[in-house]
Amino acid sequence: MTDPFFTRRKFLRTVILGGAIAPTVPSFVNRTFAALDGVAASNFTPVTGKDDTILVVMQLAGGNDGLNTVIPFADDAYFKARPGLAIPADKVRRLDDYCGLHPSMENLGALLGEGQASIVQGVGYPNPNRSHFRATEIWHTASDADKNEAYGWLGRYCDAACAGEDPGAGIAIGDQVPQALRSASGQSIAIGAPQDYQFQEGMDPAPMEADDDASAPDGGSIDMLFGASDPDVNVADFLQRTALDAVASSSKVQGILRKSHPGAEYPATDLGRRLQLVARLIGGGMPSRVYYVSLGGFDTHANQAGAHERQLSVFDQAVGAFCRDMKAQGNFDRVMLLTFSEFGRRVAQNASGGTDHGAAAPLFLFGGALKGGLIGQHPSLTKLERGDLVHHTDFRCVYAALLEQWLKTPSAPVLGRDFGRLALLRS
Amino acid sequence: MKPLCGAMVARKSRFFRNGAVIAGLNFSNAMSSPAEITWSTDAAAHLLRRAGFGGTPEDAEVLAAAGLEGAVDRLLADDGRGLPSPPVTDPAEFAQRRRFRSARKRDDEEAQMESRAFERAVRETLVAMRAWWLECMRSGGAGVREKLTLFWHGHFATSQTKVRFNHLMMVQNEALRRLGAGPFRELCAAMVRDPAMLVWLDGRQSQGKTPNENFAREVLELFTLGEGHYTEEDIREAARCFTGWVVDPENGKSVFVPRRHDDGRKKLFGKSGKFGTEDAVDMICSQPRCAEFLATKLWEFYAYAQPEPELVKSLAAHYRKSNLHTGELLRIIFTRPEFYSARAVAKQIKSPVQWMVQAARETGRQLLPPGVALPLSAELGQNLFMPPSVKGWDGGTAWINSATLIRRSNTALLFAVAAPPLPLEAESLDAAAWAVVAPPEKRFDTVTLAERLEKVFLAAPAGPATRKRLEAVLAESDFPCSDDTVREASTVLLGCPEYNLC
Repeated sequence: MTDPFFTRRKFLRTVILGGAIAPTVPSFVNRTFAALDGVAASNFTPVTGKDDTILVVMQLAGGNDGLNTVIPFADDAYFKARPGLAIPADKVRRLDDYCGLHPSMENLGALLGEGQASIVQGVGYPNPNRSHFRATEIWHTASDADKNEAYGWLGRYCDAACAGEDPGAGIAIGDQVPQALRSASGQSIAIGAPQDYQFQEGMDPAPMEADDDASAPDGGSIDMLFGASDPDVNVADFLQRTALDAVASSSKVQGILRKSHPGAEYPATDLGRRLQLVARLIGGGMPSRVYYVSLGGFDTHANQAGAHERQLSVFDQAVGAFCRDMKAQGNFDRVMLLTFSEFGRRVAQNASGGTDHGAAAPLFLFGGALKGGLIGQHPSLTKLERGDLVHHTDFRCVYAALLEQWLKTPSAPVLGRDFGRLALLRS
Repeated sequence: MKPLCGAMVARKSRFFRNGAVIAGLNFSNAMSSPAEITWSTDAAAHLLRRAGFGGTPEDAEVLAAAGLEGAVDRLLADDGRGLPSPPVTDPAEFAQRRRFRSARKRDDEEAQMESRAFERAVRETLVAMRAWWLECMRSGGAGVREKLTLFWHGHFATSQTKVRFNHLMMVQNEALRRLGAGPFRELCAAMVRDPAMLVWLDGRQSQGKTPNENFAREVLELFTLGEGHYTEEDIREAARCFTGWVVDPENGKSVFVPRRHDDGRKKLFGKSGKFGTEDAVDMICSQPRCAEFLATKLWEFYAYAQPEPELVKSLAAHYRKSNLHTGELLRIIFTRPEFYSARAVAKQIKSPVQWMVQAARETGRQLLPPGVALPLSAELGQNLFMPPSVKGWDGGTAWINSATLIRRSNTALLFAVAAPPLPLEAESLDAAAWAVVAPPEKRFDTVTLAERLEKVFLAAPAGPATRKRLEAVLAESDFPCSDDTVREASTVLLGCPEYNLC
């Protein structure tokens, strides 16, 4: 009877498995998250529809070099500014007579050809900030450069359009809910590894090696950016509320993951895994309207050529797989993927074979409902501001278009004012 | 190593009232008035949790008996002695990998196998480094120096993902530990030429008249002044000052190469001259804003977010007067009434590292074994030697979301029940641990045991729901109760949402 294993098993039986508990709530939760009396997980009632449009937002963290992504190969100024970094004109995947894609972007090229991807050129905002962190806050909150907002634009969308107590109106894939999803009602959840998104009686340790490999040797001092955190929150209430969300959403998420299967082969990268998780949640009927993923490693101050090519390829292959998966699911017409980066990079290269923080850059959209192709002109390479490209399209015009045309909600209450219309969708 | 800060020499202050030690359980014990500090066991427990990684109620009583100034003296006397010896790392790792890389290009099969073994060993060493550091936090006195080292790791946030050389990460870690409590200028100067930093922010590639701006920007924005307190020109010019440093691949040391340095005239903060690296560090650290920026960040790490402007002003003034001596600033922080106010006490969300180390310290147990603790720490959002960006960990509410809260509860269960996959030897530690949590004299009745357990595990009183749970568990037990009852009741507290506060 003093055998320690016996004691432990007995304990597990009596504490973890014993007692009268609601069948849907894991008993450990019942023991510890005691605030949940009367809030069984079966009460989870989605207020968002499962046939509605879905927006997936992806940050290319670190500041993607837009100029070596959408390349003005017909412009001498490009080659003059980047003697060591310019992609030769004959290597570029041509989109028109002036610009084309980086050679590694095979999937994006194909999707553009089929009218299932769009590139909005010259995107930025007035008085651009060149700090990763401040610029990320600006993109996440859709604020003016001189203002600070607590909540994100996607969070405000959830507040405005997904009323109710539904945890998971927005889902961040990763360890942290980014500022973009932060809202007054706190409806967004984060899911890192799906197998861990459940309350357990015992735990299998995760494999040790997984996280150490997928690193970019250069450009990697920015892996993930989350925006500002909220210092004003009452922490005790916040903990209780998050505990409720966790209980209410975990069994739902597990149920959905059990019945969904990948419809495409994904590359074995972190981004591939994250997008595959998004696809499984969508395919399984998770009623979330907004997903958020991130790919880091774009801060290419030194030895840019190899590192940038590698990151673009990681991006291109994962997104290609995701689009194939959406098509296989029959969901490509109701799913839209938006990518952004907190800034582009300086036109001229530096002495380390890299580029420093810049301003305007292109952003990408993927989806079956798009008009497709290039939107707007490539910004001038000679009319620069402090050595940087000047934007002609405010990023909030893109947000507004997605809110109005895609998520079908008035944009001004979410963005604070009217940013005009940018036609993105097939009519 | 020197103590973090010398003893206070009979410094009298109208703020302090060294009253009798109050060992009562009443948490509302006047810790809310910012005008003065009521020194008590609860106040000492708060100090122990924030300055270090917490301890048992008995540790708090010992600290309380020393009085406020005595307690702070004792904590700041942490000289870093008696830490476990660090894992051995290879100074020539840099050159080694380079050789393997060229061997891979030659298609040399034997070399490829060696290369794979080498990378495996690098990964294993990194695991050992993390386990070692967590163990330093658990066993190193009150953990005050380690907590400060953790702060600086999040401040000069450098990640092995890009640096890739464990030896460089350890050299930086040692520098943060050795210099962290001294004058900030010295620490900053060390980081400017720190080999891991030179790799991390591309300083080793920065040369000539068009240097890359990565390091200079982050020095100004994240390490010393904060966004909005410098111009884009300051960044460009500081970047020129910092050119010329490289890392010697054979020994992992940083070297200044004059021909790679831009020795022309620069214009920094409105002054012009042929400034070099040291000049730039001096000029940056003597910006008045530097003291304010760092004092705010340290206060936020130890006390609470968004400190009152007049508090920041006062902290910064002290910091400047002490020549940016961080140990001195810590003394000021730990003796401020605001540090013991309602805004501070039990209002901080534990970092994953704090969670794990504190749980071990307050139960007198070992850490979870590395194979469990390290993946957990990463999944909870804090992978030592791998902050998510050069800004470090955001901390506070950013630690908590549905996914990490689920993992924290799972970890609580794991910790409390020593469930698989813990090795059997953990079991033998178990009985001793429960005797620390609840000594025999605390096991005679429900009320005494409940009070004891709350005191061990919670910074604030349990909420009504948690208390109800606790009572339900204790109601099923006979008294004096067994280890199993203590364990079961502890599980309730380790897993409750309030446990995440410190």
